[in-house]
Amino acid sequence: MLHRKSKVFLDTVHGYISVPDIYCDYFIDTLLFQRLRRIEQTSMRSLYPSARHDRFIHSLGTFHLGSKIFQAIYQNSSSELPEFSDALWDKMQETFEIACLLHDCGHAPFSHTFEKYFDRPACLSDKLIQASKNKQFKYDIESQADAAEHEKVSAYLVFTYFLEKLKLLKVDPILVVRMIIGCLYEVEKTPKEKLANCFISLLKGKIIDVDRLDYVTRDKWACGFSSNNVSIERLLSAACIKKKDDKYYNCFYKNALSEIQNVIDVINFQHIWIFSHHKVVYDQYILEKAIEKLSTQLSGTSDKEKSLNKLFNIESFFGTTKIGTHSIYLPTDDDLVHYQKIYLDNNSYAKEWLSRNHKLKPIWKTFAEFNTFFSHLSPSMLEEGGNLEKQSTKIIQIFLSSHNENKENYLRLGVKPKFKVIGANEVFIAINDNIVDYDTLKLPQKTNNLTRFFFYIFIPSHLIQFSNELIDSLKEIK
Amino acid sequence: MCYIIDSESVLLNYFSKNESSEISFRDLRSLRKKIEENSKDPVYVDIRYNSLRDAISLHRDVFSMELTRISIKKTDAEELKVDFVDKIINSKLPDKIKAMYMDLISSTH
Repeated sequence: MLHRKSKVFLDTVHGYISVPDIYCDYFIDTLLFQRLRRIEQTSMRSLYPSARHDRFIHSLGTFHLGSKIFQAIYQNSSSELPEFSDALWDKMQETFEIACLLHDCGHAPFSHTFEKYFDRPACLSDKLIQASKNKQFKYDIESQADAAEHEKVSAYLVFTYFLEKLKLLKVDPILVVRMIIGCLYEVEKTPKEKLANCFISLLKGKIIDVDRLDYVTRDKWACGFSSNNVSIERLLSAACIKKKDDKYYNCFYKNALSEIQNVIDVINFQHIWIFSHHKVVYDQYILEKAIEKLSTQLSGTSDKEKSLNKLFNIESFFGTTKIGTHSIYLPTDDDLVHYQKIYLDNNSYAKEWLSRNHKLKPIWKTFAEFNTFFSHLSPSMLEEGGNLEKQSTKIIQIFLSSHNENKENYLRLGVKPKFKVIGANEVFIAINDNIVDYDTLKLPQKTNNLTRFFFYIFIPSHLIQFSNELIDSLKEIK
Repeated sequence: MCYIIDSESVLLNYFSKNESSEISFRDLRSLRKKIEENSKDPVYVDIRYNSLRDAISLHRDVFSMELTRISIKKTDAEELKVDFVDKIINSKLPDKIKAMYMDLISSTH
């Protein structure tokens, strides 16, 4: 194992995080990485005021968990896998740790909300292929599922901004990129490629990976919501690599089974109770509208698409870019908040978002109420674009008119709650000498019979006292 | 914001309107490109790994995901019937996008 001089960061979630000095010099103490201090981690703050965690500490946390899982795997498995030399383990550790550290460095302001504009028209995969100058990488990236935009931007920054530093460390930039975007070697020829595939899946995996483990525990800590506790120590110490029929599997020892279920439960809790919460849904909508408007204000044109493409452009990672008469460089949430304030007078959405004085309120607050009110309707009527949604328009408008309100002054926002269940070939458990698919263990998993789609209706707050009147009318829909 | 065609829509439309039992990610990427390039209105086709996984998770009896492709496990699933897809999945598609999208996704294979 590598022994390196380190600096120590104190993190409220994981405790002391020890980072090699050289990573601080080469990666962390840079404009690009420090920018992450000003990119909010989640949209949860609209619901939980204390959720002020950012992509910077999440990146350090992911690095820490990556380092810990690597050590656990080395201790649990290296003696059983003599085909992997110590030199290979050492280089893999450095590569994996750097990938963990840099995996989110390409995030857009406000994280996932606007990242799609980085890749419109789709060009990021081509940029990565060109930068790699590697045929096998080209083949693999083109034949596998597409990564998220922020992952591709992070990967591009590895190939550009951080390339010289990686060369100095003799770390393979293509492997760092593969780990960030989850691009496996389709044909594993060398020991390096075989071991690399295991670690690619541990940064961007199907269910359990260090990125997810950090944000699951960090979001829970920052928000303060009550859900299952995940014992990260127990889970990580149970990680190992097992070989069967010349194939390598990331596994967990059986003592981690309950922790695996805990991870899934926390993820599902977040999706069902937080990301589907009416406040989060409404706030997200207002933010999108505010930034859409802002982009046209900055660019001085009415073309929203072009304006958003200018505002969320990867060129702004490399130098100052112009949008209208304004300059953007390494954009963060703070920059966009600043610009929103400058143009506040002509942006009612920005006013509403910044003041959090929501003008509209929901007539029901959970999908449980939605299901109860409309339990008599067939599933097809409840679907997105179904009869309930279609017919509700007229009923809402009649309701608003009857209360002397503008009939367009409402919002109907659809939600598709996500629910994760561990499927076949997604998690493997080492039970004695056997590699067992988690899916075949027949452990109790929570129901998948979840609401596919529901919607909220938001009406002016002064009319909320009459919401039962509207709900009763909606219940008449057949 | 541009109109988003989600992963569920892409998968259900593709498999209900083509006789193929699988689609490679390579083909999905070119399909995305074609749809986005041919649309007069701004549109984003979401075929990102995590979105596809969520869609497959929603229809886990119907689809399976491998390293390079998505396959169907159950050809007679209700979700793969054209009527179902048109009524449930496509009912919200804006008219300006619908014809182009249906045309491209039906003639991919």
